[in-house]
Amino acid sequence: MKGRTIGWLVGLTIGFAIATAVLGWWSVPIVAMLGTFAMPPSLRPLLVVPASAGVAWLLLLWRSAEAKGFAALVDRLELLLSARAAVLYLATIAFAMLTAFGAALLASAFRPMAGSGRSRRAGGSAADRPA
Amino acid sequence: MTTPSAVGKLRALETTAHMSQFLIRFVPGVLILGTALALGTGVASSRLPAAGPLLDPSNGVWGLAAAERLPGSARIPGLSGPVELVVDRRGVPHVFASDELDAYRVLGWVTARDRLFQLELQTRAGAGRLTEWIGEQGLDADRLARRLGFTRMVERVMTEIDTASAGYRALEAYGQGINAWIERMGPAELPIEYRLLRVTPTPWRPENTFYLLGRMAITLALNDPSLAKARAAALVGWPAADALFPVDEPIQEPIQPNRVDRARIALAPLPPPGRPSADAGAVVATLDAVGRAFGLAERDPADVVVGSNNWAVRGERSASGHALLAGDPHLSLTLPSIWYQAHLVVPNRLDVQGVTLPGAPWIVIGFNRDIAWSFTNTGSDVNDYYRETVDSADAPSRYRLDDEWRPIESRIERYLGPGGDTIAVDTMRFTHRGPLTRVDSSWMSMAWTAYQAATSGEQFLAANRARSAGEFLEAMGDYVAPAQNMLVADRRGTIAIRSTGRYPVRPGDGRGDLIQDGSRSDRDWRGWLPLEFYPFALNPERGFLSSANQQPVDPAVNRRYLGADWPAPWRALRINQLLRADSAVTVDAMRRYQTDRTSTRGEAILPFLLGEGESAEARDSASAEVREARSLLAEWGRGYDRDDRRAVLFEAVMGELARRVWDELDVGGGAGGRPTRAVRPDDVALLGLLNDPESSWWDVLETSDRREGRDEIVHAALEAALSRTRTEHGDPAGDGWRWDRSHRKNIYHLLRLPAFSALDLPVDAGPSTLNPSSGSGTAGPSWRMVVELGPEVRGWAIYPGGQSGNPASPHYLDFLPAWLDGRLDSLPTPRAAGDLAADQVEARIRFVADR
Repeated sequence: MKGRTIGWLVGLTIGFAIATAVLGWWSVPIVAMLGTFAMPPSLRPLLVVPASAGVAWLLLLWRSAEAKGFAALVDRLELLLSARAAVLYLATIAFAMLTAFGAALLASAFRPMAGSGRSRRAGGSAADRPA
Repeated sequence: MTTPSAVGKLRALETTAHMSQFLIRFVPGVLILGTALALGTGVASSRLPAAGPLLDPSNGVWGLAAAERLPGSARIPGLSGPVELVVDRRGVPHVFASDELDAYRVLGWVTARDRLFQLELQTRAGAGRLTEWIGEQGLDADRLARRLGFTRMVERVMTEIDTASAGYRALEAYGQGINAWIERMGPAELPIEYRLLRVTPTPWRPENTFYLLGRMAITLALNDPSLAKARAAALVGWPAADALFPVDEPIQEPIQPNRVDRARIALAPLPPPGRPSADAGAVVATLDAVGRAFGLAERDPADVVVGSNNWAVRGERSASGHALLAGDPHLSLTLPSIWYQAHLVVPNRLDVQGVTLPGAPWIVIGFNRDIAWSFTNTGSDVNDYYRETVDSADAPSRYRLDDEWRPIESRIERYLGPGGDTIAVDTMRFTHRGPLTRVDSSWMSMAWTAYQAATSGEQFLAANRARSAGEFLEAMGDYVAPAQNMLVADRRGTIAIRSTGRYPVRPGDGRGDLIQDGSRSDRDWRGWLPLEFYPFALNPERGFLSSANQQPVDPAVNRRYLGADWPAPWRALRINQLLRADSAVTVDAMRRYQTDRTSTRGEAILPFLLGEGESAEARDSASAEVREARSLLAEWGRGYDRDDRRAVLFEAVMGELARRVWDELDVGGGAGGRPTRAVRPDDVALLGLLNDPESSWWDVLETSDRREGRDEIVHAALEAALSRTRTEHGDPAGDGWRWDRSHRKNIYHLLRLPAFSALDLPVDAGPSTLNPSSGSGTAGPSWRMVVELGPEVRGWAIYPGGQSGNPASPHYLDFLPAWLDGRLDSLPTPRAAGDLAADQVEARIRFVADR
């Protein structure tokens, strides 16, 4: 992975984390769209943006898990939702990634339309296509 | 070189490619994002909670554990000065304010922080507004709540209330604190129940407290002694029914000590079962319909542990020489608990601690620097039904009273759905007595003292400040409902008890267990019993006072009718047995008595099961199974310890015995064609019967060719119970016979979510013991408190659950282990915020006025 990609990954992770903590879950598609618009297509935003969202939510989950009653909470949620803790963690991360991916895909659809000339010069890559 | 037409074609191709590329991303993008947003907002399914606010790792359910952290400071509008809140290690708030209203504001804030969902749920239930949360599912409950007329009563109270009164200002201040929390709480602090129901909190209003008190009145002061008796009369006639469900308890251990200072037993032979009474059948049909109309659906009597214990001893009977007081109200156990513990300190004005009902700003049961008090439910008969004569069977607008037609007050009740749409409309009608409802082809109204009960709590606020037992009783003098046996002790050594609540003065013989003719004004209540006639005792010679919901006054002393639905006095007998035998009571003895599991019911009935009093002939004819059952029962210590291996057999024998004895009270229609019992007398009636071996009640209906007697039926019950217990629990020496294998406590979350409930809890408790547990184990001691009234008043207490309603909080269930083991926590009584040692403090919050 190139240094620029890692930089975008870290930056977007911070962006997703702050936006989620301050504004709530609904900020995920907004940050994903903005990130996709801002990110050079060659850096594979359709991979980097959802990955950043997933990492950000994983870190926030980690932070929440430090609270005293977290273990008891997980036990109760397992019973409430009839699912094991690992499934709940995965569902949480997957939800963030799915939301970010959908938003990134939608945003990427508008990018060539908005500036086809610039897009041609940048030379859209195969990896920029939808998965 | 390209020609213009070729350029045009290339551009067209490029546009087509762009469009294809756009669509390849746009369509799946919309679909995926749309799906994610539909899941996130909950639009995808009305049954699933919204995934976004649920799974959000900071502000969703994952953040609930972190949301328990308290801030160092907070703001509340209207505070007149700074207030310190110290939360101790048990999660109990100690509020230090210089102004009483400020103390209530902070109490509101911290109660909302810990119990917001409970605050709103119980007032919505009381106001009949559950449909606004859960739609049609809540309609039946809402209809019942509104039919009882509380909405109308609260509206009336709110227009008439003196908004300058101390009580109203306290309610207002408490609400300001609740609303300050609601406005300022972060998204992570939203209780999980709101997320699951997909609703948001609504601002608190002072009238919510009246709805809460209305709910308490329904629980504690709405009983109908007529129905059980009428059901019995419909099967075995009125003479037998009157004896099975007597107005006066045959075993008298009254609250107001009688002349003999010991139990007075007057068990009379039961009249034989007679011919069914036709008029009783009509009464049952009417009362059943009234019960359904007013939401008084019958509960399993085994699950009705809405009782309580309290007792106090004078200094001369305590080891320390100081008065002691104990109290434990028995109610439905829920998570979070019905109680919220708090301590309020306003120098030179107020220093009180104990439990509040979330939704009301006063300490209901507790102690201050001078007195301690506790309540048990009086269970008096304070509601009556009237058959009204109306001008139209379908839509009456007038009712007849004496020689004139009076207008019926009607009001439209609308039930709104979650979206604000009207999902149902009802017309509610009222006579001067109370709500009017249709019962088959007739119309019945109900009078109830609770309709007079909407005061703004001045009595409790004054009681919280009382400096002596006398001041406490004076403060509570005009308390209305639900009537309570109010026990109080003070530092000067005074102990007193009064069954306080408004009792109607009825015409004629004063009985309230019959349906009255509503067309006659002379059937109306004449007024209220004067305070000086309430059951009362002060510093009795015997040196102690107690109550356990029994008949307050021995009818041999005073025959005034107060009710006809008194529980069997087994707990009262046991308390007094223990207190009479102990002339140096300690705090620890009080605690042990609260968790005592010895059964006076067992002590009274077991000798008959063991064959004492049987003829030699009957003894010789006993089968091997009967002898084995007797041998096993003889090993029973009359207790319900969780590891006891014989209580399970005793309960099985009692079940088998009742099934055989009360077969005259069976009706058809049970599961699998088996009979169900229309009604079941209490075990005092059975005890009376055991003393009467030839009573025709022993005869089993199924065996028409012969007539059974007591000994034969006892033998049959012993054989059947042993066989059943072996089948269900295995070998008598094995762990299967342990009491905790057959009976456990179940404390459900308010929404009955198993994940948030504490279920299958082993307890040292049984039917009718001081520490009671029966039926499905969902009720029991909701708060246990012992107070020593020495130079420095000291208190010990516990309740099942914990201070927080947040299932992720360490304080959600932290009291439960001590409660299960019968331990009490020592309650700190700091006079100032700095008095609590650092290791006793979990958080300190400084409150200042909002800008």
